[in-house]
Amino acid sequence: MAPDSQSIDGLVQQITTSNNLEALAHTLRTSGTSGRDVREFILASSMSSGQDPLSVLDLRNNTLGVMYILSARLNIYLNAQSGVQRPPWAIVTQFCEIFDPEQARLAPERIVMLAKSLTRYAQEQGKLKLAIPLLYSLATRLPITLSTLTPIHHILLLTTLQARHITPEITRLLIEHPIDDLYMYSNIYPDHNLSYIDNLVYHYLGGVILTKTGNYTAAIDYFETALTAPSTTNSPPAGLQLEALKKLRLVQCIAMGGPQPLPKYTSPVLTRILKSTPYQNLINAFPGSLHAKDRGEGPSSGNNRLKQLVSKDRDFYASECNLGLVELLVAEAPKWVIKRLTETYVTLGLAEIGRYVGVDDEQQVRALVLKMIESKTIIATISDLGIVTFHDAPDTADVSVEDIRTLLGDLPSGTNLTKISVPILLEAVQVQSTHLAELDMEVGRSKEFIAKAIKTGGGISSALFFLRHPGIVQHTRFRYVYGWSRKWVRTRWGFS
Amino acid sequence: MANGPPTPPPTTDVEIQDEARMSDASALAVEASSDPASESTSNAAPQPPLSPPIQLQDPYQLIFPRIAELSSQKRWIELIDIAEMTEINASNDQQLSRLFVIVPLILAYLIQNDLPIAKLVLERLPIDIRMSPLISNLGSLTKAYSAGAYEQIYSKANALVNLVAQPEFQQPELAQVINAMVECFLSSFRDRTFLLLSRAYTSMTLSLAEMYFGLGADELLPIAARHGWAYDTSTKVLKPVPTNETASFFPPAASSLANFNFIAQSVSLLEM
Repeated sequence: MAPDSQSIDGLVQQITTSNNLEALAHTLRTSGTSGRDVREFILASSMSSGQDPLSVLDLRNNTLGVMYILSARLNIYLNAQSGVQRPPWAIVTQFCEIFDPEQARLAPERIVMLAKSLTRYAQEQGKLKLAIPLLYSLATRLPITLSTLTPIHHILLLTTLQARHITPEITRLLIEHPIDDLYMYSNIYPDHNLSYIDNLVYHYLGGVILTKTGNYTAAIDYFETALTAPSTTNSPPAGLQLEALKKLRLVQCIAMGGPQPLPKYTSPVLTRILKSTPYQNLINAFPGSLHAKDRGEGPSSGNNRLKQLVSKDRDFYASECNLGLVELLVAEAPKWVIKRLTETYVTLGLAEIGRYVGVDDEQQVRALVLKMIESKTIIATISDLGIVTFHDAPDTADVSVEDIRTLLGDLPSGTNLTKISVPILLEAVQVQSTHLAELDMEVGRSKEFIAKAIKTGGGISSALFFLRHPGIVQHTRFRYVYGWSRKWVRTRWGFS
Repeated sequence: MANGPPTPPPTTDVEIQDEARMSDASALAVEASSDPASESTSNAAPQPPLSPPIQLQDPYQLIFPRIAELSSQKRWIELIDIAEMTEINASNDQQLSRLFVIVPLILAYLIQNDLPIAKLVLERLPIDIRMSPLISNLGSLTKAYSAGAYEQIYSKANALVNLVAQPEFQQPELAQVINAMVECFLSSFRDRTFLLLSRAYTSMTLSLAEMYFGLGADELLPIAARHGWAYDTSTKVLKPVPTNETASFFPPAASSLANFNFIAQSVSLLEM
């Protein structure tokens, strides 16, 4: 057979008659004697009979071919518009819903190309939100697991935010499937590969979306991932990482009462820069923070100080698009004042609490305390005379994992540890250890790790030493992976 | 089922309208999602509309019967999914019939206690839809709910019901769905409040309880008594009894073999 890959008719014939997908993929990928651009044009043209090749091919069984044609046509239509017939949107939609992932994985860069061009097309038509379900389908069905990051993921999140259409589906994807793997492939178009920035953007935007939907613990994890993504040595951290740090600090104050210690592998440059911004003062003035200077003085002055700081730098926060979070922070501050009161008092009247918090109206204070009891931030009961009694955590805790985080918050050194029932902790630790063991095995198996171990340790024996003692991963690049996997495991623990 | 009496032919105006909408909905449900997108974009690909343009351009009204059906069956998650899909695929989101979908969507989020997303939905609406009395009522209900202002929640819910009961409100089916959903919301809200108060209060005055539940004393006391709350008539004080909420912790009863494996494995690792 003399395969004619220089005309669209020949290509269509090959696509429909080929039995060997690998060979077909190779044919489609190599442009042969004609250049790459000419090949794109060929793919985008209609058949010699005037027919649309897409009407001849089956969207599911000929996924590979359709992928090439669709992406070429959309791309050229958007860039050159030279008489190329735009594929009907209905076909694009249908393809994204029913394409065959196995075939698509033979040429993933075309799917990425398709994702980018369809987003651009939707945007130019002014209907950006139409792209969201298509991108979702592409991003979730292309990789083998849902926790694999593709170049499409960050486009999906960006589109969601730009179209202002956050759905429970996206939130579920972010919470239940945190990223633990990357979808890498080699291809001839370097700009469709997964890049470092994609990872940053995805986790940063993921954190933003989760903050908007009120899932603060998950948002914190996402911001931390964006923040601690390793860069090559000696290069400064990305600006996006500084933004992630700012938002992380704000959300930590809102959700956990104060800034939590950062992971050890965070770039110190970031913390240094943050210290010189107004954010640092704001965080220090927050009631749950360790530095809060008003621990001894009249407590409600702390709240006023917070409001003063905010009004002073209001424009600054607005220009950084953090004003909403900052105002939320001020609104939540009274709760953490009350939380600190639980360390000192066993019972307290509502009026007294009001005095501490700076709120006069008893009904408001009552509502505030009730809200805190509802969210399990404190454990307390109110009597009919308006006396609030604070309790310790019960012995047998039917405390869910979420509650453990808020109750523990920032564990003060050594002082009264809350009693949580042993079976819960044991189960959580078991799950965590199995995950960790799996990841360790995976890391230990990888070629790069073994090569590095041999280089640094000297000899095969040390490589074997590392293999046999999973968990001892020192001074290699995979410090990142280890820390990352620990974080991933923490996230799993939090949400499994 | 085959021997049941035949359905009487549609007589009233409403039934005729419903019938027309139902048959068109089933025929066009498939096209509704793709057509609004393609009719604005296709100039080369001929896709002749199969029915009068008015219905083609209104996916909100087309999907409403399905929403009403799901609402009567209390299948909130499916309702939310369908409503969100319609929202995404609709080409013209400025038209007022969007209310057919938006109002049940927000109410469904409130019933599911998914407050942040309900607020996000309200925020993404265009100005003129937000100004409509239905949405501004719904907005104040959501605001009251998020602030935990119990009295306001009940008064706003009542205001909403009163609004759709007015004769000027032209959409009886929508009014029906709204009434049903508000009722569901109030009942699930009262359940949640009940659990919370049992946990949070050792004793509370009757007037306070009336405020929390939005019910008068004569309706409230029997319910409270059923749950074991003691009532002291002289001081008018209720004593809640903490109910056992379903524990989120499931004891690892059946996993003893898994436990054994795990322990054996960790011990062997230590040995190495």
